Amino acid sequence: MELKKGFLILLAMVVLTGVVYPLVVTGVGQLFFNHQANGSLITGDGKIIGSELVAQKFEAPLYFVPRPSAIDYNAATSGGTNNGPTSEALKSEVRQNISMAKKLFGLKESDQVPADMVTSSGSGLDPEISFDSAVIQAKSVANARKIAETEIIKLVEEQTTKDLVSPRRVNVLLLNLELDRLFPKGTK
Amino acid sequence: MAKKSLFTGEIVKTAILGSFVRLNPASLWRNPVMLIVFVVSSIVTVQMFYLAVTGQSFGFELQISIWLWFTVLFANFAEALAEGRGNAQAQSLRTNRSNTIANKIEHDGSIKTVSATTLKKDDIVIVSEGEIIPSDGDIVHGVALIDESAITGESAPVVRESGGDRCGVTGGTRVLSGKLEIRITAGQGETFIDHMISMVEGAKRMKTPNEIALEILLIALTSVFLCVTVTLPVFSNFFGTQIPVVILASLLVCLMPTTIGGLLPAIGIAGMDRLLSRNVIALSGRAVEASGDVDVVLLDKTGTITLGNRQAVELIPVDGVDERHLFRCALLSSLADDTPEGRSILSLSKEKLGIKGRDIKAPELATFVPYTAENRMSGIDVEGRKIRKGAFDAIEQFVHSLGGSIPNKARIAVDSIAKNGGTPLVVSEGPDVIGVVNLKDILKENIGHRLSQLRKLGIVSVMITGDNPLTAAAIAAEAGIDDFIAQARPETKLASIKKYQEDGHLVAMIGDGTNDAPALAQADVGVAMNAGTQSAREAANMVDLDSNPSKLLDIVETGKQILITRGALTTFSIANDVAKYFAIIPAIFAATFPELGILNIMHLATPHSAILSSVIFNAIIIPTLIPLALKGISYKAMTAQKMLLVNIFVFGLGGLLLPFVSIKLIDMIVVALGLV
Amino acid sequence: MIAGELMVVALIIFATIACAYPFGIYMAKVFGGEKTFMSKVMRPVENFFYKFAGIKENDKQNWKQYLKSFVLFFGLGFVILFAILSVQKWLPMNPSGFGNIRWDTGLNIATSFCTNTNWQSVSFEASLTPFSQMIGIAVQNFVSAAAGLAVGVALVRGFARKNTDKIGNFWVDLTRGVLYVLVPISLVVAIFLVWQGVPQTLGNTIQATTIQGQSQTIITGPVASQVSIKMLGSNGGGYFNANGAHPFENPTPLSNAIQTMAILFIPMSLLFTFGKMIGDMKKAWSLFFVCIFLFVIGLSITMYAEMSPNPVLRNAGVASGLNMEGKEMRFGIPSSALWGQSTTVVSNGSVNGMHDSFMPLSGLVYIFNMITGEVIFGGVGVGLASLLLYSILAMFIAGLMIGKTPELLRKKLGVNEMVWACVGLLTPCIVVLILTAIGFVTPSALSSLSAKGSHGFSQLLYANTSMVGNNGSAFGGLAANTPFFNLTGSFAMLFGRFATVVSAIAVAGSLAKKNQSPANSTQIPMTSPAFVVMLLAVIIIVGALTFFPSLAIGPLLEHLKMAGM
Repeated sequence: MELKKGFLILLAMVVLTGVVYPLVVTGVGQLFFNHQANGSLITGDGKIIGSELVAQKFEAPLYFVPRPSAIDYNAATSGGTNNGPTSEALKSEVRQNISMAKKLFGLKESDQVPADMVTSSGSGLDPEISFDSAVIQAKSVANARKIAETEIIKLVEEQTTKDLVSPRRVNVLLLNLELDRLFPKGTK
Repeated sequence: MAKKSLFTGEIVKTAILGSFVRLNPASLWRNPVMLIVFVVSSIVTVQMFYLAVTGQSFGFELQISIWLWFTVLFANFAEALAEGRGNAQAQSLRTNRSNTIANKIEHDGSIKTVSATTLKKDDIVIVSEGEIIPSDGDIVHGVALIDESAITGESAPVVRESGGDRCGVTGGTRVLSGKLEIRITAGQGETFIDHMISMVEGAKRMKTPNEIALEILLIALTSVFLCVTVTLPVFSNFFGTQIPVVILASLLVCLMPTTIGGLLPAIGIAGMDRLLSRNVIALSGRAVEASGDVDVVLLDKTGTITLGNRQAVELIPVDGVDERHLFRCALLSSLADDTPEGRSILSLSKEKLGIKGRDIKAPELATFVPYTAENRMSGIDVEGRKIRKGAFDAIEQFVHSLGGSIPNKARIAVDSIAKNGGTPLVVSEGPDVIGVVNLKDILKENIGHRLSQLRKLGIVSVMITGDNPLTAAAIAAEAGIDDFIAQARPETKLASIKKYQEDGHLVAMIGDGTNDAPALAQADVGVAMNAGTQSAREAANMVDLDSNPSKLLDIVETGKQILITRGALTTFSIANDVAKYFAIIPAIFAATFPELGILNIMHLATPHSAILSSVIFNAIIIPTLIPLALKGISYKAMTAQKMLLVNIFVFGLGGLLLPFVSIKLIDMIVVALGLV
Repeated sequence: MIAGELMVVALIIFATIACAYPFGIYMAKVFGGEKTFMSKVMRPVENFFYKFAGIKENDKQNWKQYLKSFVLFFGLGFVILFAILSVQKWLPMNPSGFGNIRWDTGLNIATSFCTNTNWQSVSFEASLTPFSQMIGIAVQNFVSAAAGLAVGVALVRGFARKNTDKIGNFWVDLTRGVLYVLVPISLVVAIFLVWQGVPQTLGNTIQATTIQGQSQTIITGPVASQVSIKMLGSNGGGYFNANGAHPFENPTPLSNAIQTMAILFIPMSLLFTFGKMIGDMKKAWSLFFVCIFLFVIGLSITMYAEMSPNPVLRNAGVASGLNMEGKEMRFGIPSSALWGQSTTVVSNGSVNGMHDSFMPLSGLVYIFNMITGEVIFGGVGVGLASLLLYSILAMFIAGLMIGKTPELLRKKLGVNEMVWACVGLLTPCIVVLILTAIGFVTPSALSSLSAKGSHGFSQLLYANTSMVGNNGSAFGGLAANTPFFNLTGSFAMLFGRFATVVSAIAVAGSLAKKNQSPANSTQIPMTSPAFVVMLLAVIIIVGALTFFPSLAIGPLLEHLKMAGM
């Protein structure tokens, strides 16, 4: 008797919470927030070039590069390195990232690198970098695109978040899109 | 009983012996915490011998195992000491009885002399002047003056008589005058004293619900610590560190709540013992603890709040009647009146007339009219005069029948006496009402003070009386009673207890009469007066040997003390663990992880000295706290919150800090003595 | 910027409190069967549910019946979820063509979601079909939370009632929990999240070609609907492996703030539900104070730890030395620490950063939060239950110390309550220790650890506390999808869930039968500072005494070593 009650109530719950509820959210979402509900996709030339929320792989120096990814920006999965805070793995990862960054961005050996640029993000898909991280890339991007560094910095500043209650940061994909739009000659 | 010190050498000696006897696992079984310490000590000892035999150094193991054994022994000692003291109390009550000879009436009516210890329930014995009453019982015949000093320590003898509420006698008391036929109510091993002895004997003692609940907590904590200790070597093995058995054993014993675990039985036993030293025999430990929760106490007016009997305090003549004439008439009418009220009228009249007892004689040819339920008055017919005294309506009827009437002044006097809590008796001579006697309830000495102490403990006192509400209210106000139930019939007591209980109250009842028995049984705490009837004593769960109703205060206080002592020592015991962790954990890992040395905030000298000091502290804290466990933590009436804060401060914070200081000191001594 | 970010942290906490108070009162009305503003919409649905399942609304159950229904419902949910996972390959909505789930993994996932733990030993977006996620996982997110709610409510009834053996009807409580509490707020939060950028489709895999011409697979699905309930129902199991760190689950600082609030929202509200049900809000505030006190202390420690430079990074030449490893740029450090603290005090288990990469002291705080039985607000329903069990322990000792038979909320505490409080609070600690020890003697378990020394130790300890505590978060470096962890984990989660649930319902039954003591002044009221101190002390001491050695050689040692770098 109780078993039947349990089964039927579970069945009703499956219909309500497993079917009706997600369908309602989907309906409302698709109707009112279509862009977001479908993954905030960005199209160019009729093709999907990615999601503004998901990091994609960029190669320096023509483009700004996102934060290191433990999953190599493979959006079919997600995750971080899970390197412990005092682990050798973290130590070598960070050292490697620093020397890589210094090489790619043409930095001096004594230059300090912002933390986010040399540590892997939690999701491996972090679409944003800090303002400082964008700035240290500006020179190499400017050199590669053969424009003044100040132009690039200006663009970075435009693309940087303006609110005072969250970290100051830049969306790499949107920044690179702007970069291509404004200074297309850089594109190969 | 003489209040002699119970820390005599004899008791201590027995207790020391007892601590070793109790090492028997079968008896340790009752105390799981100590049983585990016992097992751990055995393991360490075996390991120590192994080291010794194989020629390895074993000095540290030896010292640890000695202190672990001491931990068990100290706990045993605490229990044995408490038990020894209780036993001494009880035995001194019992010695009187063991050699007593009883004159038993056989079925055929013959009298046979037997030993008191062979008496069974419902045997009838005869006790004559100068003899010792062989066992607890009810008087079936006779009146006697009894010396109860052997039990109560009161030197004034008391009267006990058959029938009524003063028929109970206790084994071991002595008949001073008179001869009694007594029906034995308790066979061998069932007397109150036997009960008392079993309450203070650890092995037979029933644990109370609170105690069981606490023990469950202690067992649960012990299991957790057992797991902590058992898993620790596995964890440390992951780091490549091995932890010797002796150190794990030390850690376990230090973490386990050995302080409270070791003292827990002693606390309960000592509580019973303290009650006994206040002349209260508790028949259940549960009731003693429940008494700490009591918030309503029902008190019989008569005998509890007031002296047993009303007394004449005033004789008011009506207009035109000579005072002395009224006194004389009142005196005459009471000459044959043996009731306490009658006697008090007699003595008041004598006092007023200025005559002494021996000068009074009943006039010749006088006829006494005794009090009956029908006429509800008593008096004397002398020289053609019909002198009567009685209740207002009875006398009114009587004088009417003789053609008289009640004068106005008498009415006024009667009303005002009733309003003030007295009982008016009207005195008449022939058809004329000549005066009114004011019979007044006399409050027991200090009753107001005691009731206010009860109130401070949060206990509401309720008086039960057969009086009318007006009188009851007046007495209640005078005594400072919080509430009263007037015009109560015997069954009212039971009903009102049930009602209070339904409202969630815990009710204590003090009573002595047979008709109190159901109420005593229903009450959460029923205290019977030792002088009361056997049925009352059987229904109750405590018997007050002094028959002093204000004893409830002592009982409540003892009940609370037992609980407070347990709670405080539990808090203390658990709080102690913090310091022990700070001593032992860095010691264990000192070699492997010098970083953890930061936890060694006491700066103990070496790992071994740290561990040894913790174990020593853990052991000696038990005997150090024995006096506290036996005396109980003093109870002062204050708000619950304040008391809790004080106890948290003393035993929680104190328990947190004391071991830091003590372990450091012991460590310094251990190092100075070169023990490690 | 950092000042602004700290302000946001404070704002999130205050906003949650402000919303929790009225909502708690609303829940009290819901579970009391009173009319609320939702009644117009939900009452017909509710009636339909009862009619459909043959439930009589006014049939009250005693504690054994209530527990029986709970267990039965759990069993049914478990069997069905396990079945779905085992055959998902052949079920509809399988665009990526995922295979069936291995039996031990399936067992673990089914246990995990039915016990409201949401421990995930595999990456869901890479192994579960949208059908499994919607019909299996999301449904359990609702009903396991509602079942937990029912347990908490039943325990409060035990205190509020007297002289009865009835503690309510499980089916009714379950239904009301879903209909009036979980579905409405989930709906609101889900739509909010879609607005913020959380996808909501019926399962599309999008192939994108990046600017530099590489192909990228982007996974969407019914994400928002699932994320909102997993935050609200203290479930925590994400649609994606990276959970709340994934930009699709948690795209903006605002979505992060809302989700952090969602973690704490119902557990915090339940304190006020408790107050309303026993008719004394002051007592609710007193429990609230205990919770927020412990919460803020833990938060301060983790915040301090995360905002301090990591010597490893500093020595390598990183500008600030701040530990951004495993954290997302858009949340920054304070909000990541706040989430970590929130998700471990409540048995939520979602993460917006990788706890494995957090600073050692954070790990210490998080493990401590979980081993205390998640009573700092705690899991939906069960957190309140555990907090009340702790109150029983605290009041027991406090009651003795004032010389009375201990009493909590005018109920005498006896042997029964003590037994179940110990079972509910202490046996889980024992299981954590034993399972962790078993792990360390099992070679296959050791090979799952990604780190050595203290951090490796913490990984295993964290895993077991998380599972026994029905939390579900993890030090992700642990490779948990092995038969060993799947099976011991299932046991751990079952034990943790039922230790709390059985104890809470048994205590509810025992308390309901008792009479209430008169409200007089000689007891310690729950509102007294003395009680608050006692409760705090008991919570801290139980946790600290049980795990002092483990925490010392785990996160603390790692911290000390780090400090020496």
